[in-house]
Amino acid sequence: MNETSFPPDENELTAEDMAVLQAFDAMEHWNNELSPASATSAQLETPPSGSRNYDISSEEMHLLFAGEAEEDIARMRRVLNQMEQEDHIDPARFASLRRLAHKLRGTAGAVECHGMAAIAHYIELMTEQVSRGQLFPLLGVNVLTGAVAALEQSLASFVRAGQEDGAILVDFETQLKNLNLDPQQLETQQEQQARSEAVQSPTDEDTVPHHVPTQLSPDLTTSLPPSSSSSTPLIRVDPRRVDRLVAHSEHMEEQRAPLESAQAQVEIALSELHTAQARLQQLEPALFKLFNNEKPRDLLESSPSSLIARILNEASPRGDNYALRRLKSRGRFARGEWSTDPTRWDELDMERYSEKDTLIRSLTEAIADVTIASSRVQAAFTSLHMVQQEYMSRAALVRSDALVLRLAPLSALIPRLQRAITMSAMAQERQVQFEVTGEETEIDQSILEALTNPLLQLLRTCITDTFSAHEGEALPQSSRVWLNANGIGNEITVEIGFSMAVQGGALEVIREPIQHLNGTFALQRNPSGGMSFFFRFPRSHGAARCLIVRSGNQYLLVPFSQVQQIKDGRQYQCDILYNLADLLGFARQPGRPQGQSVLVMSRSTAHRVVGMAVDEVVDEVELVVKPLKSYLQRPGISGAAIDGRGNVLLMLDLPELIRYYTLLKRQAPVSLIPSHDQELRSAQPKILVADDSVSLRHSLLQTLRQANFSVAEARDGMEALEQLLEESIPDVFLLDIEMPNLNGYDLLNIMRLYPELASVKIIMLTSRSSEKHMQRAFELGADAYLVKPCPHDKLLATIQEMLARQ
Amino acid sequence: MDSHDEIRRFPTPGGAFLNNSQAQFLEQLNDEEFWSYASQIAHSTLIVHPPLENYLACDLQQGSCFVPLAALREIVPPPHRFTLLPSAPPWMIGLTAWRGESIGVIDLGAYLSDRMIQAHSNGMLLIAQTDELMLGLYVPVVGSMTTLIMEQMKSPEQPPEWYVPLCPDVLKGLYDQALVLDISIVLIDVMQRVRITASL
Repeated sequence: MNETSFPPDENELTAEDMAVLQAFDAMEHWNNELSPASATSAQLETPPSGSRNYDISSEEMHLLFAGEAEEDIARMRRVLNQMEQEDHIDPARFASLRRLAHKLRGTAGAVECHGMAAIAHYIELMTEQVSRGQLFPLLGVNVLTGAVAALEQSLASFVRAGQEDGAILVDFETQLKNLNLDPQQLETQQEQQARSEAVQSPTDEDTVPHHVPTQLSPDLTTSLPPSSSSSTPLIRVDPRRVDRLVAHSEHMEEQRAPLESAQAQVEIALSELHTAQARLQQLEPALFKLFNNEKPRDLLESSPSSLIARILNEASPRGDNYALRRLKSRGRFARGEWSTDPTRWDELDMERYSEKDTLIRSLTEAIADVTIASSRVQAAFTSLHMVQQEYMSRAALVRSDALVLRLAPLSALIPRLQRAITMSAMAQERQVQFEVTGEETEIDQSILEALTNPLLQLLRTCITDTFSAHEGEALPQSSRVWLNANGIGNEITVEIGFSMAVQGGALEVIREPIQHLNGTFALQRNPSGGMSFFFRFPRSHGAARCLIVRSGNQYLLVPFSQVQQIKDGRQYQCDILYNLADLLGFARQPGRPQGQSVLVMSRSTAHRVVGMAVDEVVDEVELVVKPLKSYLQRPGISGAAIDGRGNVLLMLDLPELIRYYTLLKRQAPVSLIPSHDQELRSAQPKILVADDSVSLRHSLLQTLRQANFSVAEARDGMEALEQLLEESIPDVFLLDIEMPNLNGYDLLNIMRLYPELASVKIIMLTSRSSEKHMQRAFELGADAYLVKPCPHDKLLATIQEMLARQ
Repeated sequence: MDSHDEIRRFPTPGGAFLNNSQAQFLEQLNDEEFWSYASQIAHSTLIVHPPLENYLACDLQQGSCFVPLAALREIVPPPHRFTLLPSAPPWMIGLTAWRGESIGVIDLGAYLSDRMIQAHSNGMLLIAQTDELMLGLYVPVVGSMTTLIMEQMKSPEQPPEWYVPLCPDVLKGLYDQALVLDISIVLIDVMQRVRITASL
């Protein structure tokens, strides 16, 4: 790779190139403006400005063309190679490709290489689309690289046989169709665009914002099956609008929880209403009976505090017996004495009858009204519930459809990976076979984009450095690299495997992007004897499945993927048990149940089971988790979600939380059940030495044995990791930086994921003496840093110091 | 009373709403004075006054302060529960949700006096925003809206005893012994302190 020899700005074409371009532009202009019949010989004979008018034979012309085309194609290739190296591809950079393609189209057409002219024309169309934001730059680079390869093949066949191979163009067009880039459609779109630009006033043009989107156009992301994609017309949509749609759909989906919560509250209120109604209904006959059967005197006596009694009591001393008489007469009426004697009808009694009876009747009617209203509310609520269910399921569909708009198949990335592998292997004069399965797996474009460069870097580092690191050794001429992708639900698992040992340092580039995506990674020695990297990350930025746990009076979220089992805290015992409240610094709540449940963490070594005690596991939910504002971010907290009641729930990253609070804050675990290894530890501390230098390793082992330490050795980073996870945990770990498979930094990164390794004291022992290396090691959790060659006294003193810290 | 000078002195309402002092002024006018005043306003040439800032008076546990209304997005009752943030300053209550976003909430009185938070259930939550920064400010009592007469504002050289200047620039001045706050500075200072405590 000689990127440094590239011209500083490939956008600049030479004056000669520009002259040729102008000539072809002028020729096109003639073809458009003048029909052959109307073109005068004078006009046709006049050479376009800047063009050359040499009298050369067709053979010479072909030779000239071949040389010029080769140069142009090579330039295109260089531009594309440069773009591949970049983190962010500016669509404006495609302009130089378009100019080169335009030039090549003209020259190829002039020598009747119609295939090359057509491919060059497609390049023009595609670069145009990228510049207008209608084609994702990453995909654009991939397709254009294919186009340049097709041009190279065509040129080669032209030079070899004197004519082009027609199959190359057909193959390339088929490739375009497979990527939903139908050549005819490209043409049509171009014409439509040209027409719309033609009718647009210059003022309008000036006001159109020059947006350079970085997303795939939705027409490339709808993932229509090939059969339907050819017949269904595609539409162009501004990616920003897709983003807005996705955001709105997310907000819609977020309303699910508040709606459900409101619904539950209405349900509770309804239930309370029904209970009150039932009580009223029970009271009605009792009240009726009371009114009909009880004598006023009894009423008076039994209810001295009632209003009636008070009125009567107050009336008696004044000699006002009317109220008493009236109440007595009511008693008679109630007993039916009045009703049986029609001759004793009295208007006042009618009033008395109405007053009493109306009260009961009104009560009965009121109860009936409440019953009817209650049943109507119940019916309305049932209907609302159904509508709400329908609405929520529609909202979920809109959300999932909106997310699908952003999905792109992994296959969009494969050509770049393939090229990176091929180029890295070629540079080492090796052959590497690349095998892919699951390339149809669809992933959110932003996730795909975030992973592209780290994956490319990983491949380059592994392959290039591997061969350079093993120079002189007998490596197989051909090696294999494979990528297996698999998507289940919202989770994508990718394995990138190497059939050979790889150089360390690859993990450094991919760890952060994967963790930023809330993903995880793991390493494993594969059956081919090489290394496999396993990555797990979400398919899209949707809802995350998590557990709601309570710690004190705080409710928090734990990703489902970090919990292996939930155990009863009163019965279950694990090797290392942390208490969530302690790690978060929250006060424990007296009087509330504590440590009721233990979350057994997923990632545990073979020897240690790590648990996190929480007061209660409340529920399992799916919530949209968003990152916190930068000033609110805390170690071990990956984001926050808002539940249906409007509460903020912090999402925990348990391994990171443990690592931070035990490694950096030097807090001891709440309870540590001593194992057999630990008992031995006090008698003879164990030191693990990881160094790829045999002589140094043996020298160290001898020194350590003489100092009465129990020792273990590892030849590379992977072997050290295997020992850490599968053998007994050492007290002190002597770690080199430069090692095969996993280097020292990689290993420090991985050790952070295993809380049970937090107690291991790490001493870097390396020939890297710069401040930068030292700082990086301490950032990643090293406890001490020694530079080789290190006097044995100093080494032993440092080890003793580390052991004393324990 | 009805001279042009009086009209000029009187703070012209910026919109459809009157603050307390404006309302009091109008209330003390009789009908004749009112219509005369209205007529003069209608016929007078528009005098452009410098923009006046309206403030919200807030009673804190230790004293009182004025918060510029322009910096407030909403005033809401506090939630029944806040989410605690680990490694937070003592005057930070925690997090709450506002319009689908998680925002930090501080006890304004505790912040200004650099004390631990106290009970926070019966007050109000002021949602303050400047540029991209957003924060919830808990205050026990929200008072009335007031237009401060800048001439009457004193320099913050002798603040009340309860005030502990964590960041001196948060005070614009003193108005009748109450602190007049520069909310943009408050927000920046709070965010810096909340960020710093994470690494302590």
